Amino acid sequence: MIEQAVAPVPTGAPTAEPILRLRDLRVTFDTVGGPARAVRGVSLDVFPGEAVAVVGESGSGKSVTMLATLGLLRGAAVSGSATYRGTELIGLAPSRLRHVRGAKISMVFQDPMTSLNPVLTVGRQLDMVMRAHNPDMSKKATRARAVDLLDQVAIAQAARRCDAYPHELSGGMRQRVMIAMAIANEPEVLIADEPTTALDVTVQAQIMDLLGRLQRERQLSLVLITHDLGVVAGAADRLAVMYAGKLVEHGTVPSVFAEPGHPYTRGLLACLPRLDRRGEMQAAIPGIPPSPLSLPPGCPFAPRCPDAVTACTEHEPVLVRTATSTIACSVHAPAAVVR
Amino acid sequence: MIDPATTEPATSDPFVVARPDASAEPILSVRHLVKEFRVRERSRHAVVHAVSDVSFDVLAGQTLALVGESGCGKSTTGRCILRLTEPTSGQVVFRGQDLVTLGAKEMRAARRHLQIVFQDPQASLHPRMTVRRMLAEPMKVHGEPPDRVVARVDELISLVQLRPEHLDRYPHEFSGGQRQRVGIARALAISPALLVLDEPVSALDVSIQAEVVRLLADLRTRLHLAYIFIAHDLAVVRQIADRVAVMYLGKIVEIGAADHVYDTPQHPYTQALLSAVPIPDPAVQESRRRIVLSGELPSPIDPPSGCRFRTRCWRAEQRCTDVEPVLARTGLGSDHQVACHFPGDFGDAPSHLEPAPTFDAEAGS
Amino acid sequence: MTALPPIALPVVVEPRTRRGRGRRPAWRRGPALVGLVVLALWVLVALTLPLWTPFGPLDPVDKRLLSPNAHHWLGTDALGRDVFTRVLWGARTSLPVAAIVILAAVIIGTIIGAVSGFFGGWIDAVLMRFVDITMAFPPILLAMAITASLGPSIRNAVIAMILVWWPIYARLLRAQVIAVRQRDFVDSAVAIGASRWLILRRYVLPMSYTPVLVNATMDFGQVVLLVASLSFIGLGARPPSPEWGAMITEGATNFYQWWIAAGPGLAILLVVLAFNFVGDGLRDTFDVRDDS
Repeated sequence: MIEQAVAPVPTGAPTAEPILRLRDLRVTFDTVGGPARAVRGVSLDVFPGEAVAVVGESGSGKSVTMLATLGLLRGAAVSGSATYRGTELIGLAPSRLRHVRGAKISMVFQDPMTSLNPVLTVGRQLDMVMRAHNPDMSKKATRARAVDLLDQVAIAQAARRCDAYPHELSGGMRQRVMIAMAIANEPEVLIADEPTTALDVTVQAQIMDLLGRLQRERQLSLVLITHDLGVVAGAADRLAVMYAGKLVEHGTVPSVFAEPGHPYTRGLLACLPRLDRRGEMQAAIPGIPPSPLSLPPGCPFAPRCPDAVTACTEHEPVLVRTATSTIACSVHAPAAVVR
Repeated sequence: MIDPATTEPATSDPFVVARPDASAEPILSVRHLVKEFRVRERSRHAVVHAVSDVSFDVLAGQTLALVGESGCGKSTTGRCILRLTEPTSGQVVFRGQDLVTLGAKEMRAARRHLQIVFQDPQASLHPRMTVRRMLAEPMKVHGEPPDRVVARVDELISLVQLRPEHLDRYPHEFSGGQRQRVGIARALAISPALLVLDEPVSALDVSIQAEVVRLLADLRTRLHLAYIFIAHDLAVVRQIADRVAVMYLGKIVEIGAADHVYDTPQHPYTQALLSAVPIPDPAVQESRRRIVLSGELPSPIDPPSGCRFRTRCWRAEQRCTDVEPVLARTGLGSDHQVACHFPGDFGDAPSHLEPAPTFDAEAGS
Repeated sequence: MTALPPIALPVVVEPRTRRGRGRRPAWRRGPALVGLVVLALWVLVALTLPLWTPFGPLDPVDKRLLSPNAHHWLGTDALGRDVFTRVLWGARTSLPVAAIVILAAVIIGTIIGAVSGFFGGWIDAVLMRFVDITMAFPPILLAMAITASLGPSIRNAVIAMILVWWPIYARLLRAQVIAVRQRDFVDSAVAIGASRWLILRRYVLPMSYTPVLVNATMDFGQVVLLVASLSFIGLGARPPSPEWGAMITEGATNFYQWWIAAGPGLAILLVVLAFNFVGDGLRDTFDVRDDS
């Protein structure tokens, strides 16, 4: 189908109550090499009906943050707070967490092949998802709804595909099935973890199109975890940039793209190749991200930062509101001046 | 110097510097390349048409990009050129000599002029060889004198902007970007004229991609290399390609100077492909016209008759089913060619379209 | 969601530190170290035994069928020979025999497996059918048949065991070679113009031999057991030579003098267990290397 791109509806009025509220979330993995501090105090609000993108390179802690929120990390020490409509999720008993996970907040993962059960048909897996939260539904009812869901995620011949096994579907279709499973119980929040990274660009466009449509139609809150700022530009209202387990910048998508405040965000944007422009890509960020086992003192970005001064290696900056966004940078937003 | 077709005398210059006018003539000509794989599907034999009658030229010192989505045959084409995969038929003419007809020994000798860099540097480097040995190996294979090898290894490591102390490390001790530099250095060790770069940056983080692409662009100029740059990331391709060939289901649907293909694409598939690439700028992205293709890629075992894109094309008519379009000049640029019965500007695309009738042609039955 | 995917920990950890720097490799820790020490002792004993043992293995040195005592730690057998001495002498047969069998089987298996896996085609088909047929028989049965037809002797038992054992390594190496052959770094070796022989030797084999090495170590114990079994049924070493299996046969006729059979039995147990421990340790060591 061909259509004009529709601008994401700017919602997320800060006056509303956040539906998902993270406060000082921390995750530490115990590894042979010592404690790996993957997430080091993340605070983030997700408001009803808005699309928030959490952006970062591999190892920045963006996925771990959301997995920890849903209690999906084993063998990790999680502290801080993550509330869904006032209910604390961190430390919640697994039996009660299950009522939230998959029903109120659901998740779509990067690789649909490993997330789907290879020996069950698509219909059976949808049936299991529905009955996990509505045990009273009849087989007939779940079947009808499964076909309806597949139809909603634009899978042609939904009734027939219901009886297909995952390996009989293409990558794009498998991701659609994952999305159908995620929306089966009418969640309020959908967390999509790199939903299009494994897919080809035209399929990626199809999936992002679908997610955008579902979000608008159902007033979903969408949390989009991605490394691809291009995807963010077309799909999210707000943007949170993570580096070394912390938020370094957040703000609305238009303002951050127009005027990135943090040197890391600037670097990320500068090194992105653009389809509509020819010219050398700038290698704007030298070096590689630090290991969570041995973070540098002060600002973790300082060793790679073009603007770093001595103070950067002494104190880790805190998030400070600027004219366009909120950034954690001692140079561009010194804590003492603003506030 | 081993390649009998080389007209130039052997030179002691480590970098074969091409003559200034060499850029006009093709260094590599691929003609009617076909690769079919026999597979067994549900207990019957089937043929996967991975590459179907592909022809193109690569000019000395220039970069030709092969782009397309997975399954379009771009990587297979690259592998066939180097005969890492044996082509089913067709010619790969390098400096006037058809590589496909060479015997094993002649081919080994010819390999010093054509090298490859793989997508995953972790997988393409011998895990138990030091960088020093890895860089020396190609030269030893081609019989370079040992003292020359030692000097050249040092030269190579600085050429890819790594440090001499990196020479005695193993691949797992490097970051992804550094490993890819090692992969590039090894490919350059025997001063090839042509590099096949098979998705050289797609396994790397964005901030690292830029460094590697810059390095490749820099090396191309300094060493006057020709590249075949195989990639699915069209934004990256735009930064380095001189010419672009767009592939769909084993065929080239459009080929031409990069600026022509990107700015005035004529094939509907090229238009859909380009419009699907997100631009990291909300202002541009929201006002852009996008084509979201419907349906799935047809199976290469049983490609559609006529034009292979017709099942997903909004311009398709009866003729597209009956007659296979061939590459023809568009008149927009000297070598801009498109294989479409109804080429036209993007602006002609209707704003809404019903799914094509054979929408579900692929179907996992 | 009910079907939750396995969560891979997306943590970037420096490769150098991932297993802890300075930590000894697995084959020099824990059970593997115990196994290594036990084996070292056995080898030492086997080598130096004639220099210090007070009794000869074939000489009657005391009364018959004495139970274990301070002089004869494992008593004496039906001919009045010292069982402990004979058990130690057994190592001088079992260990070299096992070493010869394993070494020969590994060499033959490596050559056949490498050729089969690397070149493929009809060579592969022919060789592997042969391997299939060989492996369709239980090793002990096949070894028995071969030894029986060649005539019972330790030399013929060795030949039989080599013939039985090499297909295991051939198949193992072939599978590994086929997997390694498809990796990118082999393609890049093809691309630089390396000859097939060089690629096989320098790129494919070094990355393929690990499972063969680990399995060979573990099989050492199995071969020791097989030698003993063949001797036990009279197809290997013949009495009176001090071989563990043959000794057990003798012990079996003196059912109430348990020490005569228990001595060699214990020796076999110790050796087999030690080799398994070392093999496990080796496997752990190599697994680490391969995923890094």
